[in-house]
Amino acid sequence: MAELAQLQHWMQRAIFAGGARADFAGEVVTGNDRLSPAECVGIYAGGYRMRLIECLRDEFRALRLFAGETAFDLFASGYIDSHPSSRPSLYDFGAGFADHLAATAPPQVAEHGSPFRIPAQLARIERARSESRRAVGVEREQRPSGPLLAAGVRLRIPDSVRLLRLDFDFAPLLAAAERGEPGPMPAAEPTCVAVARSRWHVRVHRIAPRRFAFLEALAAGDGDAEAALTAYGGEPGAARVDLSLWLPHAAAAGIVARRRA
Amino acid sequence: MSGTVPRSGGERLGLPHLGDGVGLREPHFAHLMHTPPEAWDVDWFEIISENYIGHAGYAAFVLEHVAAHRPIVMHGVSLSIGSAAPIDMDYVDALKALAEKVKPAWISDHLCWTGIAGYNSHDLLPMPLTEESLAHVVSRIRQVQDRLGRPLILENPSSYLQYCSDQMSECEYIARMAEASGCGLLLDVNNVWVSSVNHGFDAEAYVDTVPADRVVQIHLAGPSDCGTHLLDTHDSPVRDEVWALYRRAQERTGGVPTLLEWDSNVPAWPDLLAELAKAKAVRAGWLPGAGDAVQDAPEPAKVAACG
Repeated sequence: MAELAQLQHWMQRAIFAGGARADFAGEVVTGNDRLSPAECVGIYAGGYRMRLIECLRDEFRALRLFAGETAFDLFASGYIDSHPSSRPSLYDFGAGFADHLAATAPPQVAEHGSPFRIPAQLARIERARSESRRAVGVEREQRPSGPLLAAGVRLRIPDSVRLLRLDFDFAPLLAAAERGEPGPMPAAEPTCVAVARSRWHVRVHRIAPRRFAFLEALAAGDGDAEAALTAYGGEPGAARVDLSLWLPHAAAAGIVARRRA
Repeated sequence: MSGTVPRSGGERLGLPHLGDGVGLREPHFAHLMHTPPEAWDVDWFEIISENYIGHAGYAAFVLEHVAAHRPIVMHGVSLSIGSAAPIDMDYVDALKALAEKVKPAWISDHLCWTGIAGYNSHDLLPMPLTEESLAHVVSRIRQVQDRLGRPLILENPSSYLQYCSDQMSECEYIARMAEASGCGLLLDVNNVWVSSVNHGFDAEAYVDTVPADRVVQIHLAGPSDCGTHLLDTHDSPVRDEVWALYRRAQERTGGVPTLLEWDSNVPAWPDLLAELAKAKAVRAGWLPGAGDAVQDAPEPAKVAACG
């Protein structure tokens, strides 16, 4: 086992370093008349990097279109170098990409509305879409009928929902990405969105601030009435009217569901 | 296609002859969901296990539908049976949990390692073909089989390097591994061809040496020619040379299930079926490219000594 472990540590280091650290390759690997030992290791090193870049390109298509190939691949390479994959599924690899972009952005990123915040926030939306796509949704549940804001009815946020507070209105950019276009620079504007799935389709919904606060309170485990009062500043009448009108639409979009018995 | 496949190979390790299948891939979801199962014209499907572990979305819904009408085989890429790191039993348990839902005919992965020290390269890295690694792999196969409660089926990978420390050929390693561990074999004849070109060994001799009674499935796929080597990319039709190996393997085993893998540039369903249909024709005696004077594969490599 000792030799096996030693060999595997050596090879993994060489692969993660892009083949650049394939020192002593000739002592470990045989070459042939077409490829040197280091070039043989390089096939695996190149494949490793390209596989992970492709994985990120596929998941973060809107960011790739918006940033352009060169900038996106720089983002991706930085992430691959600092966050080698550790999970069995490639799906998990992109989980930390948005946080990485936020952590490595220039100092001006601290200012609300700074354009340096765009890559990380756009990546957060796209990751939320991926997570929503795989999570338990509402498709196998009976669609709620009757009033949703009534005594005896308890609501929940389905697992397939992600609630995001953003500094920009990304809607025009996301719409452009659907058409395969880079899209416009998003307008700096505090925006609340719910990424939700209904009938297997994932959509990004812009939500009014008080309704969004209600959803956040529900997600935090508050009861419906308590969540409504929190969100509407202690105005139960306003909460009742607004939520009564909106909740059926939210339920149809998969943003809320009845709590399971 | 059911009923058209010779069954002379019988059941191996108690596993059934499933016929001719394809990988279940997203570009075909709409076709499978909107076409009656009797019109699919495919005997069985193989899934990439990792794509469905923890998945509760549309892909899982499609799998549920497909599994209700056709046998499924779970084919993994992250077991890392050859790693010197401890076996990831959480992953094995996740495989088992998925198997309880999907009821696969069998569970397969690759003879390889994918990472060490908690990392995953997401590549099928070749094993050093040594006595030490063989004993290690056999021990781990037994542990995984005990945990899964079923035989594990392992596939020969494509490889792009060989180690100076190798003490035996890959087919000898695989034969001894299967004998000592009781595992089954998934013979990927495209991988045999790719590795034979890359390393300069005799692909026919490889197929003739693999223990036929342990082979429970054959993989077919198309590689990419990189000039200096072949790469296992699953993005093109099966090579003529691979069809010849396929026929040899089918004759030798007496007939085992066939699976066509196609993961990039995935063709439309009818084109995929047309490629799969060649398997039946090859078993019946037809050989694509037979009589062609020119073969465009690179010459087999001449292996250099370690230095």
